[in-house]
Amino acid sequence: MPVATTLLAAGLVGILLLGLMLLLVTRMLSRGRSSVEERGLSGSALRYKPALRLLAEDDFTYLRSQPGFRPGIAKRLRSRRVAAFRSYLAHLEIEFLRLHRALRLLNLYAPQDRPDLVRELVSQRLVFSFRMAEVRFRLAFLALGMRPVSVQPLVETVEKMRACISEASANLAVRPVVG
Amino acid sequence: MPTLANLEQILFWFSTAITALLTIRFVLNGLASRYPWFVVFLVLALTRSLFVRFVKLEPNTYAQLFMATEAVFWVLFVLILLELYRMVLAGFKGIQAASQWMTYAALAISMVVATVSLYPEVSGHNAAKMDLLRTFYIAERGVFSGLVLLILLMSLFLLWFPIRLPKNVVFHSLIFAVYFLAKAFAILVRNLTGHQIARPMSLSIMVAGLVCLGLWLVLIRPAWETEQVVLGHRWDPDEEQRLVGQLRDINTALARIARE
Repeated sequence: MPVATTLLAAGLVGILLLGLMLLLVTRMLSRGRSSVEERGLSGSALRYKPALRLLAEDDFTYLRSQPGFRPGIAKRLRSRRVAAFRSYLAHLEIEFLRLHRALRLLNLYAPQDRPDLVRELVSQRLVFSFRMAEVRFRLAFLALGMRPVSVQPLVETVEKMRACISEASANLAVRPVVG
Repeated sequence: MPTLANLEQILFWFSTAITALLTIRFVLNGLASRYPWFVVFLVLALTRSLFVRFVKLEPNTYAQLFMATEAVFWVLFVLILLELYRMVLAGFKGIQAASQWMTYAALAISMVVATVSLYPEVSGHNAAKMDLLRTFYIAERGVFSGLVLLILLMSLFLLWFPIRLPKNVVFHSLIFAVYFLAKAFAILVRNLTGHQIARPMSLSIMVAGLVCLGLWLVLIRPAWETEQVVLGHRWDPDEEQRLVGQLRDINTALARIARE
């Protein structure tokens, strides 16, 4: 590899590393100002009932039976509903991350060494990221009109997750005090 | 127009003065007890600078002294960083084993990646020109690159946990990262382009060192040393298990969604 190319590549890597370091430093310093406080994950009361119907086929079946129906109408409706469901997943992700952060805080201030909890936290985070990516990938197919067999179990499972998070959030009140 | 020699003189005396000032400051305001290895590094660097300035050495002897002391500095840099992270993580019993594991894993990963990155300097036509000094410079570039990666990996670990870091720790890591990055790049340029620009590159390393010394002098302060955080809530282990269970339920549910 020519010297100039090597130096250019090294320079770019160096700038990237420096940028990453500055970003990390900014986050570390901003964390210091906001303090380590969890004001109680009381969990916003996300309305879930409408989400049950978001991906259901009933509405589309009804629409198709109506006079004046055009495929474009169903396409636009499906697109908006998929967007709404994505928004719901985003909220779910926020809730998961808040819960995960609370457990990291717990781990940090545990009175004894908890390598098992660290392993659990790493494992859950990796699995969650993978699973969420998988759901979003399949949702992309839904958005293109390729429907999975049934979305009802998906919707019910998500509602169950939401209930779990709300229940966990209601009991979680870690309030470190800056001394 | 100042010559390179004049610039080197100016930079040498400025660096020596700031190094001495920084050492005295660390000792007087109690930071020396928090960062002992860093103070050892400053003292050794100062001693070496003054020794080679006032003692006339044969070129070969100078080269050997330089390589020997640089190798000592490499070890000191690793000790300084390990001391820094050990100090930050010492108060958190809950992640003790994880911290130790992460520290050694980060050290190993950074050195392996840095070693692999040496390929452009040891391959092809460069391989024919290897002598002791050149080999040493290549190894030095690898060490500094590895140290930058070590800082980055440990910073990511510290950020993952909601640890409130003292400003001194943050700035100390940043300044070292800048210092190691600047040195690694300058040495890389010298390794790839040859002896003709060795002197300008040495000058640039001196400038980088001087800037970093200035930053240490300005940014490391006793007032920014400690952040005390007391947990005001006593946690119930049963609650912990329940929360872990919730996380597992979420992921199991997501798996079912994906399969559906």
